[in-house]
Amino acid sequence: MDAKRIVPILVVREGRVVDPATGAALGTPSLWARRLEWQGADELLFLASEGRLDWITSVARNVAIPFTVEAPAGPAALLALGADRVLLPTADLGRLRATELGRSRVLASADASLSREALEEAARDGAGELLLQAPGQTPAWIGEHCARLAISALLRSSDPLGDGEALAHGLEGIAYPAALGAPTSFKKALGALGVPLRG
Amino acid sequence: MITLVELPLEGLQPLEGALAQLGRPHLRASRPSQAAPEGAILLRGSGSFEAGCVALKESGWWFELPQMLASGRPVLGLGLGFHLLAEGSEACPRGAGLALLPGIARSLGPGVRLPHRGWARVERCREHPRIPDPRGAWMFFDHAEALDPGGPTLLAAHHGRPIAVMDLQGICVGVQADPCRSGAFGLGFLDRLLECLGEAPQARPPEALN
Repeated sequence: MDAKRIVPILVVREGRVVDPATGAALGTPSLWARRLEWQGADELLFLASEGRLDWITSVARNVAIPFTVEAPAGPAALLALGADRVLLPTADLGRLRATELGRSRVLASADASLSREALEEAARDGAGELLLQAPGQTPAWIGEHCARLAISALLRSSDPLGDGEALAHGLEGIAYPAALGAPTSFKKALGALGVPLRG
Repeated sequence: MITLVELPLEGLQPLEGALAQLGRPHLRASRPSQAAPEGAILLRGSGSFEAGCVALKESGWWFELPQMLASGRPVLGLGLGFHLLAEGSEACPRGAGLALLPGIARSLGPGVRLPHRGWARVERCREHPRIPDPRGAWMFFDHAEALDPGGPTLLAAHHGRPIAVMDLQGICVGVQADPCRSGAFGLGFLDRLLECLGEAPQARPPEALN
């Protein structure tokens, strides 16, 4: 069985990782990527809102875990810069011709409340995995919902420990704001619940 | 010096970064004429098997790689590159690979989610004097097809069925996991593998993060 994945989320503005609440610059994406890798992250997700994207190549060269990027640029351009994968809204997969990118290169964001058929349509439209948001849903509901999907899914969570129960079912991983804590701390607590984790 | 086969739409940054960290001089070559005069050839591959075959043929690599291997240059295929070195892939039933390694990449399905994307434990199938036992180390995978473990298989993992992680036949090697995205273990594994293939590291100053 594969390990479940813990995926810290970093917000990038003008080429710097920032505190999403205050906007304060916290360092370079490469530095944060290496730090989180050493702290046990299984993957990284970068959410960039500015046009400057040269940091993607630096991260690609300096980090030894996979990372996904959401940024205001064409997905092919992000992949050419070195992103392992791009995050795209499910609704835009067709318009952005995601099938031409390869399913391994596309993570699609979607609301978990969509029907199973609607979520699995993302796979036909080019997504290799889903990043689900499930506000107000219990971990048990999330886990059981994901277990029935033919496409693997991560959960975007603001409470990785609270939502950790979903990892015991069909959920493959949890993506959470990196400011909430080091991956090792969550892995220790989730491992005690019997969740299969790396490290 | 290591030559990285550069195919269209391929991101070589992870491999270049890993080689820089490991102190391995390297260059990109979109055509065989641009290859280093000696040293290992690395074929990473991305996209589809069919597109990879077309790109190798259009660039001339398809015809040169077997000759380079026969002349004594190690060839290492990573991920899709492993499948291109093999006899073929179910992803492209009408096509054929370079057949430098035996076997056909078969779909991992049905019964498992595709693609297989995640961290899986790697185990040793047979001993090798210079490739250490991974003892269940985690490596990162991202694929929908894989070769079955066979005679040349040194390392294997499991996703729905046993899958070959590393095949070695002479100086031709195929690796399914991505050593550039498998953390510290992956970099160490790539380091040891390149040493086995005759690529020694060179001392260089640390590369600054920016």
